[in-house]
Amino acid sequence: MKILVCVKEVIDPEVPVSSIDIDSNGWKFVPKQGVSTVLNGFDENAIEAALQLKESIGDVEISVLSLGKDFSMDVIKKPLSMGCQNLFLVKDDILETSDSFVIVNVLYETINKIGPFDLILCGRQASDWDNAQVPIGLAEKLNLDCVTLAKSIECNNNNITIERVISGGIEVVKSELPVLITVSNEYGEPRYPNLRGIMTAGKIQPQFFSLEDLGISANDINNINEITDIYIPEKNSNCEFIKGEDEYDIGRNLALKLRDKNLI
Amino acid sequence: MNKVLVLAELNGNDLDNGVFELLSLLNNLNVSNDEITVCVLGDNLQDKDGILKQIPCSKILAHSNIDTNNLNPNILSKLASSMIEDLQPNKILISKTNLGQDLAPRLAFKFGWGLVNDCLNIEKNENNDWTGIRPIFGGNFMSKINIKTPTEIYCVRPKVFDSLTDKTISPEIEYKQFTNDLETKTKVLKRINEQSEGIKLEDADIVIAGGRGLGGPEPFETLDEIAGLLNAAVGASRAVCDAGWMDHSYQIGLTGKDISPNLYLTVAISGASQHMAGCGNSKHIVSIDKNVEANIFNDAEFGAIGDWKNILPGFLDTLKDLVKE
Repeated sequence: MKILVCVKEVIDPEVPVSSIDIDSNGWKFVPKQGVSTVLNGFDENAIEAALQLKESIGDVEISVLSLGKDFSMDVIKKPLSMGCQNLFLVKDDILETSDSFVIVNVLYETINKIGPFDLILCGRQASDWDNAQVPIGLAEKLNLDCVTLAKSIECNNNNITIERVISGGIEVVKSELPVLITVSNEYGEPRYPNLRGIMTAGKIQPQFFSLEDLGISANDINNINEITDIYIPEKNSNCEFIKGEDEYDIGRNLALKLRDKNLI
Repeated sequence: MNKVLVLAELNGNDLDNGVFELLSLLNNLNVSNDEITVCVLGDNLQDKDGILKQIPCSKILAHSNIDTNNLNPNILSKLASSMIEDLQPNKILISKTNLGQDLAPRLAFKFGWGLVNDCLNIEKNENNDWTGIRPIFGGNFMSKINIKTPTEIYCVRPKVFDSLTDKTISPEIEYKQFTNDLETKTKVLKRINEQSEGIKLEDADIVIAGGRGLGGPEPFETLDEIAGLLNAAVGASRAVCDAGWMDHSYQIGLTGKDISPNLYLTVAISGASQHMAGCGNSKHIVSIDKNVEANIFNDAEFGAIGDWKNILPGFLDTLKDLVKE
């Protein structure tokens, strides 16, 4: 069985807003000096799901695919040190400012070259643009069924059972390979790479593609969504901060204030 | 003149509130009733005239009786595509429900049209062009998006807009047979609704929730004690649930529960927009956090700045005294 996991390198979502500049030329995030990038958290959940399927099924080869202008090898090779076998990277400057529409097309062409795959796994969304549309768009383009927000995946021959997170509960869905599944954080914590994994990953060379290699010309790259502004939302400064002699006293005064306002 | 298609969702006999909110948004944009067609997706619609008539619009297009397998998006994306081909709209509005969030990207990529996903508002410029506003980077930034394709799709976050209630319009309902192949190998087997002990988060008048800053599961015992005194429900941020300190059924936010209590008391929650998406409808937000710059204080009415380890005992002791009175 061949599994593909699509991943993205993103600016660490935990850093404060002040660590990120906005470049209005093409509208991109520019991390300030010393701000690190990480593997998108939901993509790590997807990697974990692939690895657990490999552990339960046995004969599974996991490939990882990412696109971008540049890659930090420490970050993008993490799936290999977690236990994946192959890494495919599509590298082009233009991909830095491409919208979901372009990204889906490039993923599609890459999969035509390196695939087919029985199962494609993606994180539910990327923590930078929060679009949650590339995986679903890719499924549409590949003419695959798509099951989103998985918290557990069981595979038995061609049959696959997925528990998905919906508001108010859980939905149990069955499908058949090939299918595309997006994985949510409820799947569980991704594993840490161990020393052996890191050593193995060190020996695996990623396979690079240019857009030209994929038969895509610059003329084919056209965003259909135009960003006209990115801004930091305005702060509301109406919050009344409770005073006190010390922190215990602040807690006391907070309780009294809430009683005074009839909130408790 | 626009030709706007609004998708409505009927789950059993339960009309999702999204359609009322989308119509309210269109009302804000001065889109007139004759520019709008509401397309309904659901099971056995023909017996449900009475429910569909509640939608305040002038035209409804519904599909004839079919089994949608519990609103399975793999089926409904095909059905919605047929409705779109039939109507040829230049704008499509979808509420970001369980179904909508899957459907909107599928339709966008099927037709090659642009989508503003998780849209919080739409602005109209002097040329009557629309610009969608959506949060990015966990809501730390907002972005404005112009769609450049002839048809534009907006998937709008629920509960941002009030419901439109106009009792003066009564819709004409047209049922149509859409005959395309709706077979799919993906089937919904069952839905399991979560059961939680005590007061349900969604129903509680007071909710007290803890975040990553609590450092572990133990402090939730103090939150439980406070909740007991206030007859409140306890919730948690995603970081807490991901760390396994609390079960995911306690999670409040975009990827968890959506609550609307009278009082929402947060402890050590920074208030990322994904979290606020699940509690923005709280009437009063009161927050304890060590960081005065935390996002939560943009929404909080009262704030207590400091270490929760010192603030909570003062709060709890006083609460006990107040309860005795």
